[in-house]
Amino acid sequence: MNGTDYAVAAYLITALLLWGYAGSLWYSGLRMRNTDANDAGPRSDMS
Amino acid sequence: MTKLKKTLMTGYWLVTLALFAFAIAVVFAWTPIEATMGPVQKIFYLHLPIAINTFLACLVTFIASVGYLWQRRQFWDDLAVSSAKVAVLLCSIVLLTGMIWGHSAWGRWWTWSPRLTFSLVLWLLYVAYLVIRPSIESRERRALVSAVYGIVAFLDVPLVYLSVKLMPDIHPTSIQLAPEMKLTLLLCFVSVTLLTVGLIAARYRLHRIESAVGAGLDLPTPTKVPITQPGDAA
Repeated sequence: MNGTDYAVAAYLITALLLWGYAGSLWYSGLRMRNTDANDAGPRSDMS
Repeated sequence: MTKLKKTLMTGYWLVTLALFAFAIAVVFAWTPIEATMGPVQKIFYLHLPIAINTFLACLVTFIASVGYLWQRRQFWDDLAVSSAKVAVLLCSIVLLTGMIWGHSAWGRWWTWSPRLTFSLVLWLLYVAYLVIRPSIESRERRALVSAVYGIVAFLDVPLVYLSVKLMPDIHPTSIQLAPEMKLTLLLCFVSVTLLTVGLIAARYRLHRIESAVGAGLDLPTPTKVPITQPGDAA
């Protein structure tokens, strides 16, 4: 491995971790909103 | 969430993503290679801004912990835990990128130098912060213990920063940078800071929703109420 390989590996790991975490937060928010919307459905029908 | 707020948030993330991608392109395509260390020095443009942002995330946890002890508002606890989670992520990246750099420059992944040791201790302290929290059932007690812990854990941040000045070791103290290198470092710092702020804000928002769901119930999952039909009575 040369210096460029080390640098590329470091940038890849960093980008994957940072944007992977950002993506997981986005997905969790989306899922939670969908769950809220599904929960709200039957309640509004019953009222 | 209003439509304007949603548009602003989408815009913020798109700008951050574009700036991050642009910064990496600038590092590899435009920034000159450092004479002594060679191409591996490019790790520095990411390693240093992420290290500074780790300190910032720890500082947010510290301020929020003080805020909670002062006002006893749930807002401060939610902010403290959100930034602590981001601090752990950033500190993990600092350790990983440092190890990769170390293996190339020193020929080994890890050495017990003061700065590396204090950085590992910082990571362990904030991991412990996140591990301890779920073990405390009462909401108020959890927030109180976390706030005290958040203040004590922050004491390691000045130690990490000062260790290299007070106890010089294998870790570089300063690197001579050409004007292009300084510009690249600034660009990387801005993009990483935008990303850190976005991550803390997103984590905080999610945490508020989770807190709202569990508020008053102290249950891990919402209870289901059985719905009976008119015919079921017989």
